Amino acid sequence: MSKPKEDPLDQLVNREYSAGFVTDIEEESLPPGLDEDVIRFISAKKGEPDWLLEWRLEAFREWQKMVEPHWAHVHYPPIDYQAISYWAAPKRPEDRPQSLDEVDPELLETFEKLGIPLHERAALAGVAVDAVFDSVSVATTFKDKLAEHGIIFCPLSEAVREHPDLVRKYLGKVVPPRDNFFAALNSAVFSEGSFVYIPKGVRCPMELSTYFRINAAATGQFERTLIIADEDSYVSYLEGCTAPMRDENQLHAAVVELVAERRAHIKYSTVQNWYPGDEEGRGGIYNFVTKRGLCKGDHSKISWTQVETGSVITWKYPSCILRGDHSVGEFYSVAISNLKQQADTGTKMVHIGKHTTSTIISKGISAGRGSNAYRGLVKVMDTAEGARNFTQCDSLLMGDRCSAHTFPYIEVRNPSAQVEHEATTSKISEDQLFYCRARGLDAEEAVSLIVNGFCKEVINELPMEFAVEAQKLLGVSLEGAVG
Amino acid sequence: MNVARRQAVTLALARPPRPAGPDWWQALQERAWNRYQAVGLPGPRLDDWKYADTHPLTQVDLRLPSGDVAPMDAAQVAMEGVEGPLVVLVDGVFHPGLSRLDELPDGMTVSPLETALGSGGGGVERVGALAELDRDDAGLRALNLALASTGVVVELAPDCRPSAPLSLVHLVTEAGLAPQWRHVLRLGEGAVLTLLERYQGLGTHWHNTVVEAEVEAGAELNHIRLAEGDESAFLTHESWVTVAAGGRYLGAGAAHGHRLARLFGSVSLDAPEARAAWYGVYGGTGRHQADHTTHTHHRAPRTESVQLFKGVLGEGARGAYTGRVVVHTGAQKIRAEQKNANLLLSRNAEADARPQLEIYADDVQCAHGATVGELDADALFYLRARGIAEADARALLTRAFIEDVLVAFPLEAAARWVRERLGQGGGT
Repeated sequence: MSKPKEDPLDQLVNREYSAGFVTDIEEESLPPGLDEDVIRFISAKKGEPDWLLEWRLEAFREWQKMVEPHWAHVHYPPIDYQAISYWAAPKRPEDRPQSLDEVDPELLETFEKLGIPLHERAALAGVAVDAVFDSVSVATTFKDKLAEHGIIFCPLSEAVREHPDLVRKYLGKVVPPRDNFFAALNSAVFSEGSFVYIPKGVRCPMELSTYFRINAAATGQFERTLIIADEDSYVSYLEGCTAPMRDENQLHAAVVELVAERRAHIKYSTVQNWYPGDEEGRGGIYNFVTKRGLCKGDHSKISWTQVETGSVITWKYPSCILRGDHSVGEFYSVAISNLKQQADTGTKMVHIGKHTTSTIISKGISAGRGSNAYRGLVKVMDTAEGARNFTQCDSLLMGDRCSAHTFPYIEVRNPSAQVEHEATTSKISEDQLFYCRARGLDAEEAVSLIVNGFCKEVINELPMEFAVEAQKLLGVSLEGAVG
Repeated sequence: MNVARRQAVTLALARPPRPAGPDWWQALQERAWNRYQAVGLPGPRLDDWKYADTHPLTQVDLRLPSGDVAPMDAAQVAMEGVEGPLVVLVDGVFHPGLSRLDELPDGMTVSPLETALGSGGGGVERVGALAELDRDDAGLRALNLALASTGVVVELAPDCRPSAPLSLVHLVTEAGLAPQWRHVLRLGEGAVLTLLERYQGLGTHWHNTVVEAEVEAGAELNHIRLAEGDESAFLTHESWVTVAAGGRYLGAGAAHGHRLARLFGSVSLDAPEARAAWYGVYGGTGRHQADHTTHTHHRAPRTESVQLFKGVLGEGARGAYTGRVVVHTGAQKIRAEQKNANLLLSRNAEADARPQLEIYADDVQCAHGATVGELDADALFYLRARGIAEADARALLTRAFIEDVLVAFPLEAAARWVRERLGQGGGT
């Protein structure tokens, strides 16, 4: 069927992303290139102990022996790892915008559309911390409140200094340095990240996201996050935010490790809206992330929720190793690829313990010339008596130049396991669009409504305040313009 | 890069010293041989071969057939309930005595590969046209072409519709043989053919087959492959099919008992209203591994495909299904369905499923589903409460499980063959 020119879908997906902007070049950066001296420099700058330097160097040596993986359904020009600078000092306050008046007005408009609270906008726009009214005191209040409960939440480098035993016990245990090419690179050069420890029996009194959003330092391109939930504890952590993220680094190779001890529950939510590149995919972020959670204790639970709308290439598979008996893994994902974005994302659920259960709900939306692939592994080992998995991955296509792919891998070695997988792919229904428009919604609102209905099961899993923003983000992302 | 692991693994099978056939054929075989040397056997580094382990094939002594015709009698090759033309291929050679090709219907020709090569024409020049050699996983079909033992060249004139199926019986009577079968078919417009391929053998052996078939506008090919082996038997089979406007291809397959049986099919729906259907049943017990892999290419609007595969896996067995449906750019109004269900009957069994979709068009309806589980305890209890012994109840439920695949088999005798071997509720 040939489409009439005035097709609202075409208009929507053809708009330009208008929030692209340039940031000043940082001073105090290392020249491009990577060798052992660079790693020693990074480690020294951060004042790390010898064991951590050795750990980094070992990872670097492994990385040199590894080959960059190319099995994912994404295409990009070869990355020159020697052309990247692996150290940049954090921005000085005087280099940042001093008030919201200096911030790109388009960005402020986006905040408005997304409904981001007023007091957070300055922080999100990168305004110097001193200029953000109240944020410091808010953050300090939060920190005191967390400390009352014995919760440790700090930058990873601080944790290395203050809680070396905990870091040493858990770092690299879920994602070993030699796990894959990008994890090895991250292990060698990781710059910063977050460390969370929830003590036994503590239910974290707030979404760590709230604190994070206000107080987050720029996390850099090789972020490393380590979250440990001790027995009977609970934590909800949100990474990223709906606002378009400014970042001058094209390659991002983050590692996230979660450990849930007995009856602990970790809820990890991601909203990612990095620069997706222009219409030709130029300049967008390469997001090559390794995320894995270990359900170590019995009855533990790890739940991943992600809304991926940004980056020109997304390569990420948040996974759960269900080792404890009766442990639970969940993965809820919405991935949008518009413009020339490519996403190859999904999850791995490895059932080892008895009566482990996992749920995978993946919603892929392709528009423009975007390419969206779900790639998921469900593996039931012979020890996983009574394991249960349910997988549903649906794809929605908007326009005839995009593509949607589904690559599930199901491996079952225990007869008492029950594994179900179902997937559908279809285009956005003309009937639904017509119905909405006949009731007075404009094309944009209609698409947004339908897409939100399509993604509802995932959005529902987000912490409430982000769910509201994420819903708006879906509509905004599909306009191809944030304005 | 780990060079050692990426080096091509090839078998100790040498090319015969005196090549035969016309120049173009020798050049083609030369090219295929070079390709095989370059890529070697497909292995786990290739995504399509993730669940089919070719390593055991390198651990047994194999040789090419010598060309002698083994003594056989007709009873050994008959299949109950199947009439019609018959081609018997034994130990790598065409067996004229047992084959029945004298009463072919008008418009149908069936020639042994070497005869067709000698006389030229008849479609033999299309060997190698569909089973492409460029991809990394081309090792087996390249080897097959380079060392082709024999095969048949089949042509059906437009609207030729033989009432009985054409049977191709492949046998190995001597341990250690590795016949390389190569068949090529063309069905003219409106022609309809049921092709039944059967494979058997004694001792360690390896059947390696490549079938290339062109289904022209409005034609229909029903293609059945039934293979029986034991823990020392290997079978690798590739079908490469193109379907023109309004044509239809149905591939049905079942393998039972082999150390490794891999049935691969690639169908290209090249013109509007072309349709494809894949059906398969696999399973067994012991060190048995079955792998069904399909590639279905929707290259034109309004093409349809359906797939239904079921595995019944007992003690030690491993079954895999990989179905890749590709909807190419511009191929709108597509319908594609894939379904894979597996019964695990034992702790040491493994089921692997990969129903995959690759879609480059938007006006499509594609769905796939996969399940793995054991026999329903409630259903078993129900039957036992009515006085049916456990073994019988299991057999009944297993048979019911595969029956909806078998009703789609285009030949009742073939469905019965599968039912007798896989519908027993084996395992423990």
